[in-house]
Amino acid sequence: MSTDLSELQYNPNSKLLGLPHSSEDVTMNISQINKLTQDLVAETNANFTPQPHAESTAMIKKMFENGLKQTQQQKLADALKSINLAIEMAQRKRTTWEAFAVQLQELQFMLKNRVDLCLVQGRFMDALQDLDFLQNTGLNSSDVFIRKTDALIKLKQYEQARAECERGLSLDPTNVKLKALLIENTRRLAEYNGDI
Amino acid sequence: MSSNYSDFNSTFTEDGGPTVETKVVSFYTPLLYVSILVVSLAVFASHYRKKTVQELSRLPSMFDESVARDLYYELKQMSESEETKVHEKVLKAALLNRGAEAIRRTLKLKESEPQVTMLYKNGSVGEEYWKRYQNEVKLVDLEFKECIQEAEMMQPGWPQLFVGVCREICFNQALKRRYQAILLRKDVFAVQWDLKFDDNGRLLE
Repeated sequence: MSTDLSELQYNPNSKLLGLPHSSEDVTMNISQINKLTQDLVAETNANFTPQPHAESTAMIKKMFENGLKQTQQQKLADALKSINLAIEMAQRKRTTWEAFAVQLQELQFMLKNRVDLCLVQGRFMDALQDLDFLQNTGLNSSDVFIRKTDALIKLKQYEQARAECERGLSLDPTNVKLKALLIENTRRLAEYNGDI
Repeated sequence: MSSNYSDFNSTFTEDGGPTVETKVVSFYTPLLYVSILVVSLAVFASHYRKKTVQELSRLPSMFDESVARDLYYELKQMSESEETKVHEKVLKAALLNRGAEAIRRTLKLKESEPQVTMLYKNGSVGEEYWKRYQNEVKLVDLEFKECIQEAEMMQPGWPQLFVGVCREICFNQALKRRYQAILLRKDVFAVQWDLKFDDNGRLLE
């Protein structure tokens, strides 16, 4: 059984596709094709390769460095905005076929900084989602577990915080920060349960 | 000469002995036999193959329907119908998306190969599931080959680059999907944990 695409709309001016009332899968595929079309229209070389565009790299780097500078000046809210902009720019400006290894590394690096800024400003849920993303993309260093445990404790999710902390300790059993967080979490959990 | 017959072995000359009749067989008879044999084998093979293909086609797919492939053919049909002239780059984009989807499926099947093989060897999954898996591997392989052929037709010499580009697209699309899920996950967790946040994303006590 094939998907019903009889109502597929094509705009010859914008060269974009659309299909109203379509399923999630179809919508996702259409948006992927639209992004690829936009990238292809901007691309002048017919034999394009996965080589990253130096222009995009420079723009993203500049925006990110601006965020780092604002962090040093203690303008944390502005720094978060700049880093958000840098991430958004990477999502929009980078073509879909540019080297995955470069894009992943770049995104992980920017997200690590965003996590710290979010934690400092009390945006624990935002930090937690970014940390989940980092873990799911293969970043399993103890730093990630420390931050995740911290965010979960602040969100009062003690059971999950313990699981994350123990997971981190199984990878790095001598980590002092994780050990301290585990003790603190156990105390808070006991308090929450009315044991103290 | 005729009076001295007794001096020889008389096997072939005795009048009362059985005579072997030699039938005249056409030169074409063995050829006919062979051709009948070959034709019947060919008919059997064709019938058997058709039956096997029918059986395989009845097996449910391990993946959902390939929307990427359907979209490509829909766009191709639109461009051929001459009602709407679809730009070449849109077709190219649809083909790249289709190639990336084929690679994603190939990788998923390769990832699960050791587990499926182990389950089949242990008897945890049946013959039908094993056939479905093998069938899917062949179909995905065929799908990717078709993509490469289409790429060659679209731009001669492109397939060499096409494969590498599709691979990067496949990984980057997965990365983007995961990144875009962050916003949705925030709302899901907020409801699940019964938490409320202010406009700046700070937890409300």
